[in-house]
Amino acid sequence: MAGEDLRIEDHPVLGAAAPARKVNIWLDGKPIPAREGEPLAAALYALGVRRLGLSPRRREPRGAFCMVGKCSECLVFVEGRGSVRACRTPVEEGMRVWRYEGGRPLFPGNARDIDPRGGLRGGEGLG
Amino acid sequence: MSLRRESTELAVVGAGPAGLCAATTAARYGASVVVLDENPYTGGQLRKQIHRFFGSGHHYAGMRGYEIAEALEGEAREEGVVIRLGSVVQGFFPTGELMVEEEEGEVYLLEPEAVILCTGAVERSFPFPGWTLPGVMGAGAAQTLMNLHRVLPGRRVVVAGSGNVGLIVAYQLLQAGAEVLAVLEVSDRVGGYRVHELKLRREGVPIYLRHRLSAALGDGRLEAVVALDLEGGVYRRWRVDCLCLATGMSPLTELAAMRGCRMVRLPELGGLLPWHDRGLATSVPGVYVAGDASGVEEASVAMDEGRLAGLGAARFLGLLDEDGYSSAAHEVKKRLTILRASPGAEEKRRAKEGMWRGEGA
Repeated sequence: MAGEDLRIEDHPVLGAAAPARKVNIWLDGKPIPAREGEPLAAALYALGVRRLGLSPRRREPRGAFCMVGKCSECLVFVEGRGSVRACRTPVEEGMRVWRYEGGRPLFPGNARDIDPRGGLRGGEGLG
Repeated sequence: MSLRRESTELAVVGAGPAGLCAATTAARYGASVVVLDENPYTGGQLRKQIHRFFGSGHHYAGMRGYEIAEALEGEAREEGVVIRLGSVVQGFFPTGELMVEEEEGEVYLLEPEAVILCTGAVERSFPFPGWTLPGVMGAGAAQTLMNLHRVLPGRRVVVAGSGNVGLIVAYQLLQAGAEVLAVLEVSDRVGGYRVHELKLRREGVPIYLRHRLSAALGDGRLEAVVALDLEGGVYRRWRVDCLCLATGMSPLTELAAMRGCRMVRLPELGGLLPWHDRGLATSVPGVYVAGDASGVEEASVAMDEGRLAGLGAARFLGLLDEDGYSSAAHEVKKRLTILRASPGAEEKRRAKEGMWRGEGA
């Protein structure tokens, strides 16, 4: 993780950023800070996490490209929801997010344990 | 399985400048109007614009984009327009129904008597070595990140394309605190308005004409951009963490095509779009198109096209007689003619006029 801070807290035209509740979410099993309601892609980008996954066939790093839900380059796996576009998915406290690597989310263990609806079979937490 | 059904007189797809103006206009003549938008906010691209617009009072000159969005939404709500956000229109069937998916995944059918498609445009991209590296993104994506979500797209940025989008985004990157190392332009002149160009030049941002983007480099993420100087025949390289592609936009036309509207290809206006007459009526009775979905132009044009389509829909619904339509439409058409007389709009105006005359059909 790059550990950058790219948030624009103050802006010459837009002023101070609107207050938002700070929450923790999980990325590939590690806790990271985010702000409630912001798109997942923005939360990750703010921390310098530009790579949102490796492409299915060529395993190339991919990241947010259009930010408006058109290109699907930001596809990630969210427990309880399945594959979602990170740019159109608002952050919720405790959300568990897994990046894809070559067509499979980065779960520990077997990717066949994925419930198609987005849950994990067995119901074990993966923190 | 049968889906929930709902009816309305007019459905407007898209709550950007065209959609909001279309809805407000039709509602003023008494139409019941539902506006659907997939985003959680109204205003479309206006929400991301932080510069002051020019134009006339009809186009909210002097106000910033996000302020115009607020004003347009307020006017629509005042007229009783129903605005449904987080509503994705997944289908527009030949039978005339719209299939709408709400945020929680619920789907219903909306049966409108008339429809105005104001779906806007999508950024166009083109493949080059490294274009999929994280950190390479559309200029609009950068705008969304920094102006809507308050996240800096990068600390050191190169912008490819010197049209208005490229120039404006480059300036907004400076405002947000980034360093803009270069604006690249493949042709021999700056594409956007002089006023936007000068703002950048005053800040010392170099604009490289006759430079072709040749590669994005990096190990796992973008680290450098390389461009070929077409005059000197040498490559230039910048160390960056973000590359913004401002290389044009194309109308979003899936719904029009799905409904069976006759399509035409007009490269000057962004490519494939639904054929329409001067009053924004498509080849399907009761279906109108306005804003960037009818050909990519300015936000001011989108507003007036929306108003014109709104008048057309009101007439179609029997809420406005022929004389009333003609006099109201005449005023809006006059303004559109003036807007399209600006120097940069010449090619687009000719493409629209060719379509109205029935060329290229």
